[in-house]
Amino acid sequence: MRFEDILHNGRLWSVVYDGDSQDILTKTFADWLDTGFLEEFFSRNIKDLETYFHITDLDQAIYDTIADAASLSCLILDIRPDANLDMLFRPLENQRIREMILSREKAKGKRTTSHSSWLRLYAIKLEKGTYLITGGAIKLTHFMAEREHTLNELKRMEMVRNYLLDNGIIDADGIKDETL
Amino acid sequence: MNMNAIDFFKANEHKSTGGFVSQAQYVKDNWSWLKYSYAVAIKVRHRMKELGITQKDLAQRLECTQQHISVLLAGKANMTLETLAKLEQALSFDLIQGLLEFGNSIPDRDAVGYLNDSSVSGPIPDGFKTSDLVAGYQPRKKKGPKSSK
Repeated sequence: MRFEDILHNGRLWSVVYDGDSQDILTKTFADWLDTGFLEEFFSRNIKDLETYFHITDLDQAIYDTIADAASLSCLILDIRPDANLDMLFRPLENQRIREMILSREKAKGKRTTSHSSWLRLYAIKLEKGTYLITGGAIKLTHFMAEREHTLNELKRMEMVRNYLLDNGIIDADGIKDETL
Repeated sequence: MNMNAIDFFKANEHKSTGGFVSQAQYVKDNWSWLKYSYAVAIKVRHRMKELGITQKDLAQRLECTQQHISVLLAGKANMTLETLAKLEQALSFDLIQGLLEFGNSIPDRDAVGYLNDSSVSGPIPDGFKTSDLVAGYQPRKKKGPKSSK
């Protein structure tokens, strides 16, 4: 496992999984901007699209995804070096009430005119304002565990978290603080 | 032994050329026409599926390479009007009508739009200025009330 410094300021990192030539953030956005990938994905998940979003127009779903991915990538690109990345990410668990070490976080796209965004980026928070992207997904269901592709993102986050802990990484400063 | 995460990442750093930043910069710089290119790609894919024709078939009908069709179907081609007209003819469908509406159906959004949305990032803390967050951000002028559809 290797790591890419996305914004070249040490604040936003992305995992390069073994066997991959690109980091996962770049790969995720490449998928979200790929009409072929999206056509195949939404064809496979059309029932979820209808059930959870009441959308039956596959073409519109593909276009919404591309437009939303473009906006989200521009947002990440435009974040200033001293900007607060905590504004982009929030806890994966909506009900989390206390901070935890190497917590799991998510960023999501903005609501479009007709529906909530289904784009999600997943990350591990190293410390305030410093994140490691572990993956991303098009989340159409309420819970991540409901579908294989989102369940795999959960597994990946856990795998990366364990990898960091196994290598003695506790947070960005290497300080173990149980009171976090 | 505990280790600094950043030092660990730097010791295991992957440096790419043409990674996320260049990809995102390209999309940002070219979105004004890319949004139409994507819309064309989606509509052409849909029509090809209806007709049951392959990329190879379409390349033959347009008398171009399959590679060119591949770029076109990926939504990465900056097409001329001539190409659009040829596509309409080759696939016997109305491509241009509705394209502008489709391409404009998603408003351009900026970073501040995202971060102002509490459904995305949670409530904005007191005293926080979104203009502090994004370099060169200038608030947009409101164009008046939107017409209801």
